Amino acid sequence: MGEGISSEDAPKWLQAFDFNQQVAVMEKEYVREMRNTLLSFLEVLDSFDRCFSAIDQTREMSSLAQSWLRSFEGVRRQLRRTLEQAGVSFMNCQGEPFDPHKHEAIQARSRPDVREGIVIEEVVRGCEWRGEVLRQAKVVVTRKSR
Amino acid sequence: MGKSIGIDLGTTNSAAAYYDREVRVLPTRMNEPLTPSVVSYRKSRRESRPGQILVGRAAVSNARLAPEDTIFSIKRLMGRTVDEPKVEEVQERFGYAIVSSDDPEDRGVRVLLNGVEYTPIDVSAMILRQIKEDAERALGEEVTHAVITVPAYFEERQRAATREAGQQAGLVVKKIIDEPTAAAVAFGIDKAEERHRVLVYDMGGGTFDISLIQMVNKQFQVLAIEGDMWLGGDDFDHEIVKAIEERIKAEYDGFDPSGDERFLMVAKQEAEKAKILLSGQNEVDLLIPGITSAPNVGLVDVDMVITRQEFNDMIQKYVDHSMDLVRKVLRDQELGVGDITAVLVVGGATATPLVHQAVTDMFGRDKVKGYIDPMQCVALGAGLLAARIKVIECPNPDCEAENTEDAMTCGRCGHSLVGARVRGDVSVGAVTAKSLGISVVRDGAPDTYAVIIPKGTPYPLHRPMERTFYTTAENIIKVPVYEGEETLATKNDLQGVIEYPLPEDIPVGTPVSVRFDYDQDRVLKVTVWVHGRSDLKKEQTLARDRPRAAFEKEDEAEEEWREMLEGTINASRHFQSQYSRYLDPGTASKMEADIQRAERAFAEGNKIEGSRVVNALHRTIMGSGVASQLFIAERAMDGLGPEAATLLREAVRKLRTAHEAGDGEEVERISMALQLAVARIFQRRASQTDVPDQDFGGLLKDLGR
Ligand SMILES: Nc1ncnc2c1ncn2[C@@H]1O[C@H](COP(=O)(O)OP(=O)(O)OP(=O)(O)O)[C@@H](O)[C@H]1O
Repeated sequence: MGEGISSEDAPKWLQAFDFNQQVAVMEKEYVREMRNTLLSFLEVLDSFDRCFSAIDQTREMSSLAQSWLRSFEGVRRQLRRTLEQAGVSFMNCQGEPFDPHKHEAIQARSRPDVREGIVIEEVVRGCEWRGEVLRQAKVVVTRKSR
Repeated sequence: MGKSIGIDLGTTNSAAAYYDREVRVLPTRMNEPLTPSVVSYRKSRRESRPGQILVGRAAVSNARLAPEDTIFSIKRLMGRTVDEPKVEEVQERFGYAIVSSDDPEDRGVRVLLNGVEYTPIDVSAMILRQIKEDAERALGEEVTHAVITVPAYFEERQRAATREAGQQAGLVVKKIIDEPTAAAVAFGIDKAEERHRVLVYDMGGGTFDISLIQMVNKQFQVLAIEGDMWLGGDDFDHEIVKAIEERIKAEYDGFDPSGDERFLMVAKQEAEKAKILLSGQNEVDLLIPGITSAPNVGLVDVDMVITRQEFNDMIQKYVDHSMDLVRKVLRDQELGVGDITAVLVVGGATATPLVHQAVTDMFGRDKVKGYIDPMQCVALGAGLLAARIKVIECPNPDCEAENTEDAMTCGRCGHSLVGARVRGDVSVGAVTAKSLGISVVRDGAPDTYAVIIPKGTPYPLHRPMERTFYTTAENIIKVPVYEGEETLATKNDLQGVIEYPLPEDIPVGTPVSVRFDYDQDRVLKVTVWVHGRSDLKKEQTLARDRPRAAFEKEDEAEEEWREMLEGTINASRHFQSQYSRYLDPGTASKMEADIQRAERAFAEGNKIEGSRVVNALHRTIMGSGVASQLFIAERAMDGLGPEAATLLREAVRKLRTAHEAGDGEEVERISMALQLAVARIFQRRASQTDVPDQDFGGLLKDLGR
């Protein structure tokens, strides 16, 4: 023990008090809580995604409706960016080979122009956080076309 | 020998638990508490290459792509022959082929995976092998022994099949245990002296089991079993999905979403979440914007409140049915409610208040025990038994002699006991015994050892330790990882190599970081990544080449537990005496109460209470504002050079003064600076290396620090 505030009052056992261990335990707990928080914010993003993907581009829309839509689109981007700033990275797996460790196939579909085993649609976004899969993407994958 | 774990090998999911001071469920490689009991075959994208057998979560992910090559519910087929009706039930529900063996002598079933026949034992062994590997990853040590649970109704041949699967997975199976028995052990019923007649009410996601067991002289005996193979929490989810559909029909002009698969996926997921929330609160606000859409109705939103009462009405019929089965068991055994001394509620669905209520209404509050996580109960019991059972039961049904833990063959009949190598013991330390590093290139000199975690570093690491190097080749990164102190890398012990190709656009000399994380379970996780390219990142957990700790004996664990509790009490008293005036009154009095609780737990040897209170105290010590910062600063002072110590002391003094003056802003400002300084000290301490400077080489280039 160095000299200082601790020299007169810190007994021997204090040196054995495992600081690193404590920090590690707290860090694990923090990571767990943070994962859950991020996951629940991701669900808000899912709702945005579902709503936007349902918009029928071919239908006429009033200019007022269009301007609202633009603003809400902005809110969605803002949410996404905020999650990215918190360290979440989105997978963007469309066109990639299917990887069962990162993607969950919810449907197989044949597409004559795409070879087998390729992700053609990311129905629910997958993402990673701290170098680990935070949530698997739910995807549609091509099967062998006949 | 290596570690000994308990495995709940379930129909839908499996789990592993390990006892070390306290028993806990081990996380899988996907950071989940459960491994889905599923195996799937994935074809290679190139016809010429062999495919891959996936197990657990990855197998579930692949199921929709290869329904005929995905094996679910293999447990229902263990030890069965093709002509049994149970086999037909499975065949009807799943897409994979169940066939009989070519061998006319053998009536056992086979399943087909990519056209290849496997026995149910083979498939269970694949699941068990993955569980073993994940447990080794979580523990950082080899796992050699296991206790595996089976349902009480399993017959001898089904038990033998389970044991064989364990051996095939490379495990020495100490014993096959009944699931209800494991549950009873988790609840500590086996410690009681008196005679017990226990009813286990086990309701999971898809199956409901009742077992009646008797305990005399600490021996368990299964008296009766009953159940419904297709009743559970999934039915509750389905009721909520139906309510959602009805609401949509009412609000959107009769629009029926039930044919839409994506709607069903989202609805089912949200329904399960709502159900779980209703276990803890009286109503839930179910809000699902844009759950589906249709050309004529546009976006469909769900916005409804479900009260606990409404939910109870939905599921009443299932609960009633389950209680009818309970009454049936009692009637068949000619027993009254009063003849049952304890009721254990097990399985996730029993967390539902209505279920719990029905059971307590019948048996009375005192007899019903449900305070252990019902999803983990069986695995936890198995984990306790894996530590407690110090023998290996001979698998020969005519022998069943008990052998010592390190025996390879049965002492009585000579039957082999071993499915795994058994290795020697090495003792534990709280600091790394050797340095960990990689082989790098420097000035054209390959094979130079660059230490990343120096010898003597306390672990688990506060923060992963990392260093930056530079690529030396156009097309590949190669990072061999070593343990040892030699400056020539290859003179150390190779732990593994991380190697991956680079795309063409990465020039020589691009910075690459190598990060080592070493956790309390002594698992080394290595991450290598190319700067600015998140796709060129590779992470690998290295299996250490030898076990680090002796098999945990219970009395040693006892000793450690006492030391830890005592250390915490002392640390808390010290903290209190030094810093209590920086604590708010609520925290101070809670701390005093916790210390007294800890002292009581110490005196009574109450482990569970002890570890609970240890956690509470640690949280107070580390998370109480200024008081904690002063305490942490005091720890950081340890071994500092005179200059740094003076600076730190100065910061501490300022913090105290500001606090005493009640200057909140100043307190905040200084504590921020102090936190930074302390973090830096710990980090620097962690990265001091004792390897001389000329130690660079290997495939990544080090330009010096
Ligand atoms: N807090 C909770 N309240 C109500 N239900 C819950 C709660 N937590 C989990 N469940 C439910 O418990 C079920 C899963 O339980 P468990 O893991 O014991 O089943 P299982 O062993 O996988 O199923 P099986 O019966 O097929 O063996 C799921 O239906 C889940 O929704």
